[in-house]
Amino acid sequence: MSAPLLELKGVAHSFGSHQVLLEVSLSIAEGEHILIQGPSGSGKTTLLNIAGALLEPSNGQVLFSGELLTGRGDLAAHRLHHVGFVFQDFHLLESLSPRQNLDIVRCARGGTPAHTLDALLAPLGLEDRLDIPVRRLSRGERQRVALARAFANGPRLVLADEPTASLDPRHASATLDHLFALSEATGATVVMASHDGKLADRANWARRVHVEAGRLSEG
Amino acid sequence: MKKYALIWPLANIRANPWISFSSVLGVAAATFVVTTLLGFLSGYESAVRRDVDRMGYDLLITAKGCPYEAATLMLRGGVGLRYMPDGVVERLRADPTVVATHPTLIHPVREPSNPEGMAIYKGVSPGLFKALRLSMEEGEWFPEDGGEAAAEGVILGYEAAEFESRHAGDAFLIPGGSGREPIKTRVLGVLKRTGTQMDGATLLPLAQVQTLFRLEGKLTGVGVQTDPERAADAEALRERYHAEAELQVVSLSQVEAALRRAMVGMKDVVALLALVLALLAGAVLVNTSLLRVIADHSRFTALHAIGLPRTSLMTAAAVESLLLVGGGTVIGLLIASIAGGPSGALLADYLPYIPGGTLVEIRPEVAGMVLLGALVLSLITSLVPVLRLRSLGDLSGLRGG
Repeated sequence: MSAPLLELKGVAHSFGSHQVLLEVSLSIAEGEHILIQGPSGSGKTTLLNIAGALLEPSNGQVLFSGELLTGRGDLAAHRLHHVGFVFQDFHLLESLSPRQNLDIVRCARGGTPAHTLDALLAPLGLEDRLDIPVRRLSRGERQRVALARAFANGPRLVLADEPTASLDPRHASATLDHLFALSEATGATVVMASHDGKLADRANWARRVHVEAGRLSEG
Repeated sequence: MKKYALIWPLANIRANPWISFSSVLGVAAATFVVTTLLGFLSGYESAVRRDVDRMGYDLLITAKGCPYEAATLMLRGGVGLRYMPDGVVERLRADPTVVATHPTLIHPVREPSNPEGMAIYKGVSPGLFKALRLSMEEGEWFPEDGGEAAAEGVILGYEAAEFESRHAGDAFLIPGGSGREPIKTRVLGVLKRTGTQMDGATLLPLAQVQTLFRLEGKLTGVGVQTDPERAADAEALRERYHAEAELQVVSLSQVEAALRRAMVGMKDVVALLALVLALLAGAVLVNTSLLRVIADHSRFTALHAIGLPRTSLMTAAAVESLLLVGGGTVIGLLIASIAGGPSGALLADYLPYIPGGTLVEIRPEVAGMVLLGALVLSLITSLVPVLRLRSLGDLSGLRGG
């Protein structure tokens, strides 16, 4: 049996005296779609940050494909090669085009063929918007570019932190459609954090995990 | 990522046209002022030195009067307006230290057509042509043999010829003065532009001025060239004539020293002004860079979170700063080079002495120094974003951007 893609073992984290996560363990298989739910301030984002090697946990271990990440120091190269991020506020480079926003990540990583960018952008319905600055796109269009960018470095794990929080229900649903379509096309594992209970109804989720007061429960 | 080291900063500059424009404009304005002031420092010094070099003699001996007025007149190629005692030139010519003498008689005549106006005629020796290293634009200089008495005609300085619209061979009228008839003569030649007050002069052979204005034997001054091998004897000569009650002596070194004293204070003020302006430009740029970095902070953080190395982000910030500062500097340098003449004319109004020629000289080393300063400035301004990036945690700025 192969090792899980991501494994959190007894992970705890605190910011000063504030304990955010308490002895959390989670195993995620390759290709899974997992939804992390919980109210604001429950520790969802901290959990995603630890899973994405952005944050070193105070206690516990994080393993990626069986390899221990904890204590390795700067993990920028790991993130660049294996992890994709979708941020709530997109954080795109406004002066560059959608194609360039993806290409800059691809170039930084190196090795990913250029034609995959068009393959990522094509299903998003942005064919005639690929070469104009992102600042001229609508909010929904930017969200789609941000989704595509998360896959531009060919990641095995995509982490999405409240990607639908600022969208209306129709656009939120469309965003999830795009997220799952890109995941299917690339085979990437998706872990998404959201406080929106309605998103849990989607059949695409393999698992739904709840975080409350720093503790994890499944179901 | 390397190809985005230029593409991204350029796109950022285009995306914020007003901020970019005001940054470039600020740098260009500061560069223009600093370059002009630095160019003025070297240009003014060169112009004064050129004037001093063109004096053509080491000592000027005139009748007693204001030494500063005499120094200024000497620089302008003239002498004092009082007459010297008899026999001075003969005594000088007999002195073994003296290589050559250039006796001069300056005579002002009221313009009949303009009672406020004054035409100044300068009687000179033919040897002055060589001593001042003059050259002719057209026509000929007075004949060397017997020139002090011969050659009925005038030599005009370049600007005097332009003002009078006269060329070599044209007729020329000298006002007679004291109710006498004007004297008809002709233009023998026109001097090339010297950049000194000689450009406005009307020159005649010495003897002719003395005869025309009934001033036989009179001189207003004499320029003396001494033997450069006998500096000690020349100094003794200067002291000897200085001791004479009716004479005053101005030496080349005295003129240089007086001008240098005037320039030292001025140079300090100008250099200080240039420094203040450069610092001001630097502060504006740091502020602009800081505003840009604050605006881009969350995006930089997100990109670093994605895995883009800090060095790439730092390079982008530095290149953007370099493009803005470099562009502004080149524009400022071009404007300073083109507007050198008008800038010099503007500054000339505040000068104690205005030498001839170009006052603002944008030399390659001045331009290079300004460009180097701008490069350092752009590195400093990009240091702000760089330091800001260095202090980033991986998480700050990911939310609420």
